[in-house]
Amino acid sequence: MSQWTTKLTTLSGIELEDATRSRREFELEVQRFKRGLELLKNPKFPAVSQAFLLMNKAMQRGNTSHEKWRLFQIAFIISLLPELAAREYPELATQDDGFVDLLWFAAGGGKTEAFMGIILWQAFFDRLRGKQFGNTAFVRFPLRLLTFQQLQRLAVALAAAAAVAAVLVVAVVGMAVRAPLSRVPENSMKFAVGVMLIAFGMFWGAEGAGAHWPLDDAALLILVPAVALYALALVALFRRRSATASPLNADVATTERATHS
Amino acid sequence: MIGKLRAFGAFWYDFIVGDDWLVALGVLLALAITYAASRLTDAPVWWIVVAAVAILLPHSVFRATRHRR
Repeated sequence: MSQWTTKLTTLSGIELEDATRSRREFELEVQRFKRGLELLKNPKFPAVSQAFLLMNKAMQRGNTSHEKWRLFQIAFIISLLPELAAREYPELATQDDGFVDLLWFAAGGGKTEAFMGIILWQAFFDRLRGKQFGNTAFVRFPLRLLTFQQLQRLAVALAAAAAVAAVLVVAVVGMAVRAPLSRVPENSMKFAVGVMLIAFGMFWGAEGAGAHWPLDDAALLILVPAVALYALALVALFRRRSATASPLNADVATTERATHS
Repeated sequence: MIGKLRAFGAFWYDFIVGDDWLVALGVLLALAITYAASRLTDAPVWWIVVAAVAILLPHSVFRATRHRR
C-alpha cells in the first residue's frame, strides 16, 4: 500500500483519478476482509464460525481434491460473511453494505468452488439460526451446457453438507439418549431390536418379492405391534413350560413336599 | 490367506444365516414362494411371509428357551 501511495505522487490527471479510486476500492475490499476475519473470531456470534467450520468440512467431504482455499476464494467468502450475518444480527450492518460482488477469474480458476463455499456457509448458518424453509441461493448459468455440470457439482456439495449435518444430528441425539438407553435392560433392548427387524424385514422382504401390502406403508403400524405381541406371547408360553419342566424346579418341588410331610 | 477367506465366509454366514439355518431356509422359501405367487397370480400374496413368521418364530423362541435350560 505504501508503494502505491508513492506511485500516486508520480501520476497526474485522469491516471491519478483512476489510481486513487482503485486504491480506495482496494482499501475497502481489505477492510471488508478484515471485518469478516474479526467476525469469525468474535465469540458473540458463534453461529458464524460454526457455519464456517461446517462449510469447510462439507467442501472437503464433497470434493476430496479440495485441500485448501485459493487466496481469492477465501477472501471472497470471508468478505461476504458480515453482510450476510447482518440479516440475523442487525448490529453487524454498516452503511457501506449493499455490495453486489462480481467474482471474476480465469476459467478453471475455482470461481464455482468459491460460490459453493458461500452458499454452503449460508445454508448452515440458516439452519443454525433456526430457518425452517425458504430460499438460500439462486443459481443461474449463462450456458445451458454449463447448467448440468455445475448443478452436479453443487448437488454433490449440498449432499456433503447434508451428510455433515446428519452426522452432527446423530452425534447430538446419541449423546442425549446414551444415559437413558444405558438404563434399559440389555434383553429388552435386544427384544425390541428383534421385533423391529422381523416386522421391517417382513414388510420389505415381501415387497421386494412382489407382494403389495394392504394399507401400503401404514401396514407397518400393524405389523410392528402384532409381531411384538406374538413374540411376547411366545416368550411367556415357553418360559412357563421351561420353568415347569426344569429339573431344578422339580427338585425344589420335591424338597418342599418332603418338608411339608 | 485361507484364514482370511474363511473369516470372510464365516462373517457372511453369520450375517445371513445366523444361529439357526432352519429359520434362514424358511424365510428364503417364503420369499421365493411369494415371488413365484406374485408372478403367477393376481391374488394377494403378502400373507405368505406373515404365515412363515407365524410358524418360524415359535420354533426360534422354543429353540432359544430349550438351549437356556
